[in-house]
Amino acid sequence: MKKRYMLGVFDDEEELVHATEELVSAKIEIFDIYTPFPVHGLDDLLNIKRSRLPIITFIAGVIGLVVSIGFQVWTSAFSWPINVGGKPMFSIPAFVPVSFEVTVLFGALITVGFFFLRSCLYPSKVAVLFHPRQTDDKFILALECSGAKFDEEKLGEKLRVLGASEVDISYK
Amino acid sequence: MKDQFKIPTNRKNMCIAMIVLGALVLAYSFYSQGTRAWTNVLINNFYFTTLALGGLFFMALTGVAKTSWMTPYKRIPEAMMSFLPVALVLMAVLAFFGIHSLYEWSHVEVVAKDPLLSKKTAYLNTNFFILRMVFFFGIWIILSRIFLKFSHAQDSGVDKSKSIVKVSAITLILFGLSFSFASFDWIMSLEPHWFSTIFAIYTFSGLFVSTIAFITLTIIILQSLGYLRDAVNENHFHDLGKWLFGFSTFWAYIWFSQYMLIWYSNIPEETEYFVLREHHNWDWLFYFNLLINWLIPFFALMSRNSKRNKFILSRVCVLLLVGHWLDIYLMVSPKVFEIHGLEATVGLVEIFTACGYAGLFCLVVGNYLSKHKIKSEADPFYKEGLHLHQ
Repeated sequence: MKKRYMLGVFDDEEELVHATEELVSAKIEIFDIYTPFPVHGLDDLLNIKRSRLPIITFIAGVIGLVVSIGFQVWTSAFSWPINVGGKPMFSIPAFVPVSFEVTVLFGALITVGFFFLRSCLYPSKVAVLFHPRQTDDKFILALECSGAKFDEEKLGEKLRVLGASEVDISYK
Repeated sequence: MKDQFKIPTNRKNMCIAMIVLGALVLAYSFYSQGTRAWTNVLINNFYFTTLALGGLFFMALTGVAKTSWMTPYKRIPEAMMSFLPVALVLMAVLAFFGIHSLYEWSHVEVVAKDPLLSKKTAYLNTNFFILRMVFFFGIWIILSRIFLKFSHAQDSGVDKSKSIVKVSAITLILFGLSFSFASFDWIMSLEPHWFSTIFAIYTFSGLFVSTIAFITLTIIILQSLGYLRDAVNENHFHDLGKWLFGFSTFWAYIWFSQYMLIWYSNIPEETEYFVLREHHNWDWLFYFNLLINWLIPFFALMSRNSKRNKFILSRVCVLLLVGHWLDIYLMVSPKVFEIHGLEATVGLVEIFTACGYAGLFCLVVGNYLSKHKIKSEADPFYKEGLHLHQ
């Protein structure tokens, strides 16, 4: 079943941040906020947890490092040793640039892959937007219409007072 | 919140004690092993000149970008610049009295026997060396005065950012050229047969890391004394931490670039530099240098939380400041010690001399800070600098 949401549409980021502060201090639960660009301070107000993606990046980087060093050692010292410039077959300095590049490559690609996976993004995915202009010039503050205390009339009025240019109801 | 900085008496006494102790140990060292004393003078002269110059470079870099987030603590790079005249005096002492103890090319009879050095005499001769040194310091001191003038004009609420952009752009070019030649002159010419075209950027990367480390550490110390607490928040520390993280890696990158090209091409007149440092008891210091200047800071500063944590940040800053002293020690000492038959060592002379210089530097910096308002609240960019977000 689709859930019912109340949307406060704001024209200005300052008003949005102010409204968010008010709602948070009034202990009204905010479902989510959609903005066309990052707005400073919202993450802290909404108490959003830090992304876990950096952990993936770190692990991917370590895997890339191990794989690249292993592969270079295997090719240049065991599988097909070729004497280059009289250097030892197993020469760490020669492996460093490639290991660095592969570490970065693994880190970057696997991070992007996990990001797509976690946020369920794939080519030709149809975007589910609350409001058609949330990626354009409007700031959307969404409240979930649930719970006994949820008073649509009163909250709609409150959002308007806080500066929302329109208040909509949407289903998702 | 306190506005006017005053050096706490116990810290001031500590600085003076360090200077006196350093001077005594250095004087004893002149008496017992003159060359080692001059080596230490050169190492610390260069190290603290780079810190002072780092203040100038920081002002120019942030000036050309019209940065506002450094305005709350812009007094610190300004204070670092105020060491430049002192550095000129210290360097002049070395150039006039110590040059023959350190630089092989300053001995006319050695140069005459050496065909390579004879060819280099047009550049490497005592008079031109001193002339260049005075010229470089002249440029730096004049530029630092101009920056101070503009900065103090900003303090009275005048927007000088356009002029600052212009003078910063010129400064960056002049700094790049003059510092390159200064590091060739003072450090690379210790081994006049050896050359490395990347050497200047290598010393520069050390300069930038130690500058950021010093600025960060000074802010943390000032905050623990009760200053700047409302001016600098954890977002500022996060940015400084990112710079530390990034530039200690940049240092490692340049270190490796220099090492790998020399290692690969394997030309004797180039490899002598690393052959000397990887053997003869220098090896553990050589690898330790990489450990404390890159590996430990890299992992310590990797996470967001540690960049915003003053405890971790201050420890890493101390580590990097010590590390870059060691780095310069490793650039200077091995060859001089080899020529004069000294053993590889970091002994009491090195430690006390460095402490003495550190005391002097801190005293000069603290003295400047106590003469000016620690917060530049009237600066047109101050408010914007306070509201720094991530």
